[in-house]
Amino acid sequence: MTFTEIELYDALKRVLTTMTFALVVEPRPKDAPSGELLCAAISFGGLQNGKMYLRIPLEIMPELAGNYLATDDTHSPNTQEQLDVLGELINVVGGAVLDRPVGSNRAYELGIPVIGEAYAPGPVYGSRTVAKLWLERGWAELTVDILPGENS
Amino acid sequence: MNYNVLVVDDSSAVCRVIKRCLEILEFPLEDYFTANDGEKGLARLQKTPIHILFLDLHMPHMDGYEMIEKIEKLPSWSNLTVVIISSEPNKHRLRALMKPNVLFVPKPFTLEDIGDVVDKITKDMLA
Repeated sequence: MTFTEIELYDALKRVLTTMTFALVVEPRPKDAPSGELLCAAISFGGLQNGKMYLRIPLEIMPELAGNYLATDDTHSPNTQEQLDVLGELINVVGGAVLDRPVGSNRAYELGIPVIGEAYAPGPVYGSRTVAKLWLERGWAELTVDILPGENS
Repeated sequence: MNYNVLVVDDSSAVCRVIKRCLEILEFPLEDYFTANDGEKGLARLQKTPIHILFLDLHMPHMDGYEMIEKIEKLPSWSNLTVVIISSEPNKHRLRALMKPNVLFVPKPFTLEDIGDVVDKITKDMLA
Protein backbone atom coordinates (compact mmCIF):
# COMPACT_ATOMS: atom_id res chain seq x y z
CA MET A 1 0.00 0.00 0.00
CA THR A 2 1.35 3.39 -0.91
CA PHE A 3 -1.20 5.75 0.56
CA THR A 4 0.58 8.32 2.67
CA GLU A 5 -0.92 9.94 5.71
CA ILE A 6 -0.86 13.29 3.91
CA GLU A 7 -2.82 11.90 0.95
CA LEU A 8 -5.42 10.43 3.25
CA TYR A 9 -5.66 13.59 5.31
CA ASP A 10 -6.00 15.87 2.28
CA ALA A 11 -8.78 13.72 0.84
CA LEU A 12 -10.60 13.55 4.16
CA LYS A 13 -10.30 17.28 4.72
CA ARG A 14 -11.58 18.11 1.23
CA VAL A 15 -14.60 15.84 1.59
CA LEU A 16 -15.56 16.93 5.09
CA THR A 17 -15.16 20.61 4.32
CA THR A 18 -17.25 20.38 1.16
CA MET A 19 -19.93 18.00 2.36
CA THR A 20 -20.41 18.94 6.00
CA PHE A 21 -18.87 22.43 6.30
CA ALA A 22 -16.80 21.14 9.21
CA LEU A 23 -13.62 22.98 10.09
CA VAL A 24 -10.88 20.41 9.81
CA VAL A 25 -7.47 20.98 11.33
CA GLU A 26 -4.10 19.27 11.22
CA PRO A 27 -3.93 15.60 12.13
CA ARG A 28 -2.98 14.73 15.63
CA PRO A 29 -0.58 11.99 16.60
CA LYS A 30 -1.74 8.58 15.52
CA ASP A 31 -4.11 7.92 18.35
CA ALA A 32 -7.59 6.70 17.55
CA PRO A 33 -10.76 8.57 18.57
CA SER A 34 -12.33 7.46 21.81
CA GLY A 35 -15.94 7.16 22.95
CA GLU A 36 -18.66 5.33 21.08
CA LEU A 37 -17.78 5.10 17.42
CA LEU A 38 -19.65 4.38 14.23
CA CYS A 39 -17.65 2.52 11.61
CA ALA A 40 -18.19 2.45 7.86
CA ALA A 41 -16.15 0.40 5.42
CA ILE A 42 -15.72 0.25 1.67
CA SER A 43 -13.73 -2.28 -0.34
CA PHE A 44 -11.74 -1.43 -3.40
CA GLY A 45 -9.91 -3.34 -6.10
CA GLY A 46 -8.02 -2.72 -9.30
CA LEU A 47 -4.43 -1.57 -9.09
CA GLN A 48 -4.41 -2.84 -5.54
CA ASN A 49 -7.14 -4.21 -3.39
CA GLY A 50 -8.01 -3.49 0.18
CA LYS A 51 -10.55 -1.98 2.47
CA MET A 52 -11.00 1.51 3.82
CA TYR A 53 -12.53 2.22 7.22
CA LEU A 54 -13.95 5.47 8.54
CA ARG A 55 -14.52 5.68 12.27
CA ILE A 56 -16.47 8.62 13.57
CA PRO A 57 -17.76 9.50 17.04
CA LEU A 58 -21.46 8.72 17.35
CA GLU A 59 -22.16 12.00 19.13
CA ILE A 60 -21.15 14.19 16.17
CA MET A 61 -23.17 12.34 13.53
CA PRO A 62 -26.39 14.37 14.04
CA GLU A 63 -24.53 17.62 13.41
CA LEU A 64 -22.53 16.31 10.45
CA ALA A 65 -25.64 14.76 8.90
CA GLY A 66 -27.66 17.92 9.50
CA ASN A 67 -24.98 20.01 7.82
CA TYR A 68 -24.84 17.73 4.80
CA LEU A 69 -28.60 17.45 4.45
CA ALA A 70 -29.00 21.19 5.00
CA THR A 71 -31.75 20.62 7.55
CA ASP A 72 -32.93 23.53 9.65
CA ASP A 73 -32.27 23.77 13.37
CA THR A 74 -35.66 22.35 14.30
CA HIS A 75 -35.05 19.03 12.55
CA SER A 76 -32.37 16.68 13.81
CA PRO A 77 -31.59 13.89 11.33
CA ASN A 78 -32.90 10.52 12.48
CA THR A 79 -30.72 7.44 12.84
CA GLN A 80 -31.35 6.21 9.30
CA GLU A 81 -30.50 9.59 7.83
CA GLN A 82 -27.29 9.69 9.86
CA LEU A 83 -26.30 6.23 8.61
CA ASP A 84 -27.08 7.25 5.03
CA VAL A 85 -24.81 10.26 5.38
CA LEU A 86 -22.04 8.12 6.88
CA GLY A 87 -22.31 5.75 3.92
CA GLU A 88 -22.04 8.65 1.52
CA LEU A 89 -19.06 10.04 3.43
CA ILE A 90 -17.03 6.83 3.17
CA ASN A 91 -17.99 6.52 -0.49
CA VAL A 92 -16.78 10.01 -1.32
CA VAL A 93 -13.68 9.78 0.86
CA GLY A 94 -12.87 6.51 -0.91
CA GLY A 95 -13.23 8.12 -4.31
CA ALA A 96 -11.13 11.10 -3.25
CA VAL A 97 -8.31 8.93 -1.87
CA LEU A 98 -8.21 6.62 -4.87
CA ASP A 99 -8.55 9.41 -7.44
CA ARG A 100 -4.92 9.58 -8.43
CA PRO A 101 -3.29 9.80 -11.83
CA VAL A 102 -2.30 6.42 -13.14
CA GLY A 103 -0.06 5.57 -16.04
CA SER A 104 -2.14 2.78 -17.46
CA ASN A 105 -5.74 1.97 -18.25
CA ARG A 106 -6.03 0.21 -14.93
CA ALA A 107 -7.36 2.10 -11.98
CA TYR A 108 -9.33 1.49 -8.83
CA GLU A 109 -12.88 0.23 -8.48
CA LEU A 110 -14.90 1.06 -5.41
CA GLY A 111 -17.35 -1.33 -3.77
CA ILE A 112 -20.59 -0.54 -1.99
CA PRO A 113 -20.32 1.07 1.48
CA VAL A 114 -21.07 -1.09 4.50
CA ILE A 115 -22.16 0.62 7.69
CA GLY A 116 -21.57 -0.79 11.14
CA GLU A 117 -18.88 -3.22 10.06
CA ALA A 118 -16.66 -4.23 12.94
CA TYR A 119 -13.24 -2.68 12.83
CA ALA A 120 -10.78 -5.46 13.46
CA PRO A 121 -7.18 -4.26 13.62
CA GLY A 122 -5.76 -2.55 16.68
CA PRO A 123 -2.24 -1.42 15.78
CA VAL A 124 -1.75 0.35 12.48
CA TYR A 125 -0.38 -1.88 9.73
CA GLY A 126 -1.95 -0.13 6.76
CA SER A 127 -2.27 3.63 6.24
CA ARG A 128 -3.97 5.89 8.75
CA THR A 129 -4.87 9.52 9.21
CA VAL A 130 -6.69 11.25 12.02
CA ALA A 131 -8.53 14.52 11.46
CA LYS A 132 -9.80 16.88 14.10
CA LEU A 133 -13.12 18.55 13.43
CA TRP A 134 -14.43 21.69 15.03
CA LEU A 135 -18.20 21.66 15.28
CA GLU A 136 -20.78 23.74 17.09
CA ARG A 137 -20.87 21.25 19.94
CA GLY A 138 -17.11 21.13 20.36
CA TRP A 139 -14.49 19.08 18.63
CA ALA A 140 -14.14 15.47 17.65
CA GLU A 141 -11.60 13.26 16.00
CA LEU A 142 -12.22 10.80 13.24
CA THR A 143 -9.98 8.25 11.65
CA VAL A 144 -9.51 6.78 8.21
CA ASP A 145 -7.59 3.53 7.83
CA ILE A 146 -6.70 1.66 4.67
CA LEU A 147 -5.84 -1.96 5.09
CA PRO A 148 -4.28 -4.02 2.31
CA GLY A 149 -6.14 -6.95 0.80
CA GLU A 150 -4.71 -10.44 0.52
CA ASN A 151 -3.35 -9.93 -3.00
CA SER A 152 -1.74 -6.54 -2.43
CA MET B 1 -40.75 25.77 -18.61
CA ASN B 2 -40.75 23.44 -15.61
CA TYR B 3 -38.62 20.33 -15.48
CA ASN B 4 -39.05 16.73 -14.39
CA VAL B 5 -35.97 15.59 -12.51
CA LEU B 6 -35.02 12.03 -11.63
CA VAL B 7 -32.22 11.19 -9.20
CA VAL B 8 -30.91 7.61 -9.26
CA ASP B 9 -28.60 6.98 -6.31
CA ASP B 10 -28.51 4.28 -3.65
CA SER B 11 -27.81 6.97 -1.08
CA SER B 12 -31.07 8.53 0.08
CA ALA B 13 -28.93 11.31 1.57
CA VAL B 14 -27.77 12.32 -1.91
CA CYS B 15 -31.35 12.21 -3.23
CA ARG B 16 -32.37 14.59 -0.46
CA VAL B 17 -29.41 16.91 -0.89
CA ILE B 18 -29.94 17.35 -4.64
CA LYS B 19 -33.59 18.22 -4.04
CA ARG B 20 -32.55 20.70 -1.35
CA CYS B 21 -30.01 22.26 -3.74
CA LEU B 22 -32.67 22.67 -6.44
CA GLU B 23 -35.04 24.26 -3.92
CA ILE B 24 -32.38 26.71 -2.73
CA LEU B 25 -31.55 27.53 -6.36
CA GLU B 26 -35.30 28.09 -7.02
CA PHE B 27 -35.02 25.70 -9.93
CA PRO B 28 -38.38 25.38 -11.77
CA LEU B 29 -39.30 21.82 -10.81
CA GLU B 30 -42.38 20.16 -12.22
CA ASP B 31 -41.84 16.83 -10.46
CA TYR B 32 -38.96 15.26 -8.57
CA PHE B 33 -38.47 11.50 -8.61
CA THR B 34 -35.90 9.28 -6.94
CA ALA B 35 -34.81 5.67 -7.40
CA ASN B 36 -32.22 3.72 -5.43
CA ASP B 37 -30.89 1.59 -8.28
CA GLY B 38 -30.71 1.51 -12.06
CA GLU B 39 -33.60 -0.91 -12.51
CA LYS B 40 -36.03 1.34 -10.69
CA GLY B 41 -34.62 4.39 -12.43
CA LEU B 42 -35.09 2.77 -15.82
CA ALA B 43 -38.68 1.87 -14.96
CA ARG B 44 -39.35 5.50 -14.04
CA LEU B 45 -37.79 6.75 -17.29
CA GLN B 46 -39.99 4.41 -19.30
CA LYS B 47 -43.22 5.77 -17.86
CA THR B 48 -42.46 9.45 -17.15
CA PRO B 49 -40.91 12.07 -19.42
CA ILE B 50 -37.76 13.13 -17.59
CA HIS B 51 -35.70 16.18 -18.57
CA ILE B 52 -32.74 15.81 -16.23
CA LEU B 53 -31.37 12.60 -14.78
CA PHE B 54 -28.85 12.81 -11.92
CA LEU B 55 -27.12 9.44 -11.92
CA ASP B 56 -24.76 7.71 -9.52
CA LEU B 57 -22.47 5.04 -10.97
CA HIS B 58 -21.93 2.64 -8.09
CA MET B 59 -25.19 1.04 -7.05
CA PRO B 60 -26.41 -2.46 -6.29
CA HIS B 61 -28.49 -4.46 -8.84
CA MET B 62 -28.11 -2.28 -11.92
CA ASP B 63 -25.31 0.28 -11.71
CA GLY B 64 -25.06 3.58 -13.56
CA TYR B 65 -22.92 2.18 -16.38
CA GLU B 66 -25.47 -0.46 -17.27
CA MET B 67 -28.32 2.00 -16.91
CA ILE B 68 -26.74 4.40 -19.42
CA GLU B 69 -26.29 1.55 -21.91
CA LYS B 70 -30.01 0.82 -21.64
CA ILE B 71 -31.36 4.36 -21.72
CA GLU B 72 -29.31 5.20 -24.82
CA LYS B 73 -31.69 2.88 -26.67
CA LEU B 74 -34.85 4.59 -25.41
CA PRO B 75 -36.72 7.02 -27.69
CA SER B 76 -36.60 9.61 -24.89
CA TRP B 77 -32.75 9.62 -24.90
CA SER B 78 -32.55 12.61 -27.24
CA ASN B 79 -34.68 14.73 -24.90
CA LEU B 80 -32.76 13.80 -21.79
CA THR B 81 -29.69 15.29 -20.14
CA VAL B 82 -27.78 12.98 -17.84
CA VAL B 83 -25.68 14.40 -15.01
CA ILE B 84 -23.35 11.78 -13.60
CA ILE B 85 -22.64 12.52 -9.96
CA SER B 86 -19.97 10.20 -8.73
CA SER B 87 -16.76 9.75 -6.83
CA GLU B 88 -15.66 7.27 -9.53
CA PRO B 89 -11.87 7.02 -9.31
CA ASN B 90 -11.55 5.25 -12.67
CA LYS B 91 -11.28 8.13 -15.13
CA HIS B 92 -10.83 5.86 -18.15
CA ARG B 93 -14.17 4.22 -17.49
CA LEU B 94 -15.80 7.56 -16.84
CA ARG B 95 -14.47 9.10 -20.04
CA ALA B 96 -16.12 6.37 -22.08
CA LEU B 97 -19.53 7.58 -20.87
CA MET B 98 -19.11 11.16 -21.99
CA LYS B 99 -21.48 12.20 -24.77
CA PRO B 100 -23.00 15.56 -25.77
CA ASN B 101 -25.96 15.11 -23.43
CA VAL B 102 -23.96 13.59 -20.57
CA LEU B 103 -22.36 15.89 -18.00
CA PHE B 104 -20.25 15.09 -14.97
CA VAL B 105 -20.19 16.53 -11.46
CA PRO B 106 -17.58 14.99 -9.15
CA LYS B 107 -18.34 14.17 -5.54
CA PRO B 108 -18.04 15.92 -3.18
CA PHE B 109 -20.18 18.53 -4.92
CA THR B 110 -21.28 21.95 -3.78
CA LEU B 111 -24.45 23.95 -4.26
CA GLU B 112 -22.56 26.00 -6.85
CA ASP B 113 -21.67 22.85 -8.80
CA ILE B 114 -25.34 21.90 -9.03
CA GLY B 115 -26.26 25.48 -9.91
CA ASP B 116 -23.70 25.61 -12.72
CA VAL B 117 -24.83 22.35 -14.26
CA VAL B 118 -28.57 23.12 -14.19
CA ASP B 119 -27.88 26.59 -15.62
CA LYS B 120 -26.04 25.01 -18.53
CA ILE B 121 -28.79 22.45 -19.11
CA THR B 122 -31.64 24.95 -19.07
CA LYS B 123 -29.78 27.32 -21.38
CA ASP B 124 -29.09 24.49 -23.83
CA MET B 125 -32.69 23.31 -23.72
CA LEU B 126 -34.05 26.79 -24.37
CA ALA B 127 -31.54 27.54 -27.14
